[in-house]
Amino acid sequence: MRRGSLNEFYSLWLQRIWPQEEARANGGVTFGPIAYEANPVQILLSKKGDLIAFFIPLSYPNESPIKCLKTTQHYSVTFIPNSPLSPFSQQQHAFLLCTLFASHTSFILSLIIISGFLLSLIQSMAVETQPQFHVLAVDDSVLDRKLIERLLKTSSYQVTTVDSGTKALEFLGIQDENSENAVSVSPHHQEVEVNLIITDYCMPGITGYDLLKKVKESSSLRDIPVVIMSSENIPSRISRCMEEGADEFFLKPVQLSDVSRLKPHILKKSVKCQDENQNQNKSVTTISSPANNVSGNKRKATDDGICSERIRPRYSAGPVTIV
Amino acid sequence: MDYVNLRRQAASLRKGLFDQGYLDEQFYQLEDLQDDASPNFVEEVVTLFFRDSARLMANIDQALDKCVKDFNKLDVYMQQLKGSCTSIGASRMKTECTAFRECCRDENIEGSHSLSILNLCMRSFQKIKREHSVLRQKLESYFQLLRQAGPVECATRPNK
Repeated sequence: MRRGSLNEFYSLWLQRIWPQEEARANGGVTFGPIAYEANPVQILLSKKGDLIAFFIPLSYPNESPIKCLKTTQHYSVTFIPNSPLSPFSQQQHAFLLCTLFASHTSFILSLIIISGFLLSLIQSMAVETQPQFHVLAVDDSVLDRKLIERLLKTSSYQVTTVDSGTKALEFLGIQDENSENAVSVSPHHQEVEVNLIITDYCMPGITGYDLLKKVKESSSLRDIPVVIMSSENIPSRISRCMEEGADEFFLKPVQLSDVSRLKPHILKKSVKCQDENQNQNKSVTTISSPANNVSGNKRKATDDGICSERIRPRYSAGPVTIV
Repeated sequence: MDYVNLRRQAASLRKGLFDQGYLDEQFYQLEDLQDDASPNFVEEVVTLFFRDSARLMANIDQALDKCVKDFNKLDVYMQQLKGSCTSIGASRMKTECTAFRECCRDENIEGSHSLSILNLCMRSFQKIKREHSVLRQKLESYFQLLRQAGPVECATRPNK
């Protein structure tokens, strides 16, 4: 263990057994090793030179070092009045040493457990407070759907998969122009927020390209970034898609490195939407909550600076001077 | 149960699959996607692959049996099959699929429905079926070994 972290540990231990006010009143503490034969013993002293506590390594021989302390005359073995370690007899000392040591290990254990718990708590909080983006994945191959779903979920996206362009349009709220009704936005559309569409190019029925066109033609959905996937590397196909407004073209098999390229497109669009939002809000007298946004694809207003809410583990000790 | 031995067997089976070209880089990608949240991902995907490819191959069989002259349709099926092979890294099968599609294309270009070309296609398809069944056998053994070796070790990549 590094010296620094040992000191942290000791100061934590000290805080546990010795109230801070008392410690401060007694001028704080210093600690450092004293040698007992070959085995160093960590001790805690008050600035007045009184022994408060000491820590014995596992490997230590059974003999109590107190005798030695007395005879070396380095330190006086007196205890701070009213400290938890008030004067004890030598026998009680030995016992206390044992219990100190026992509590030493269990304290370490509980420290480890607590910090582990805190860390996971922070992590889960961090994940919860990060905005979760929703991706609509369209592919007729059941295998590729499973893959893309896993790729996206691993990258912390919320995923909906559909097996055809028609179903994708339904999900987005655009009705197929082959149907009798005119192209319109369905009332359910507002509840479903899609931050990105990723679609296979070659599909029976409506191809990925057709889907792309329909999305870009829709006034409410044209801002949603669209990514095309294809197993075939055909330059003319790629350029056609990009011209129609696709944000990216992935060659199959899609990999994690490809998925990592999606975020900028989503964020770019959401920043644009937030700007629009701000401009809109200026002319509105009542403050609307994100749920009441007029346009369906506005990102939920979350701050990037969420640090203030997080628990920061406190390891700062009381007044401690390190020898 | 000698778990260490089973695991060793599984590892060597896996290595063999890569060395002999049955699997390629894409299979590593699948293994990378497997984690605590999705502990059986690779096996699930592979199972899905064999189910899906069996269906496609049955379609192709049917189409070939009927001596269908619609090679476009055959090409579509084969493209789907090849896509699936690419997605899981089934390298040898992918190669055979490409060869088959070449046959189909030749047929279309030729414009003639000569029996010899059809035979070529059928022979090519037989190769695909063979690769399919060998791969299935090997992967099934691999996953069985993994299951026997215990839940501790998942199909993760130790080192390339």
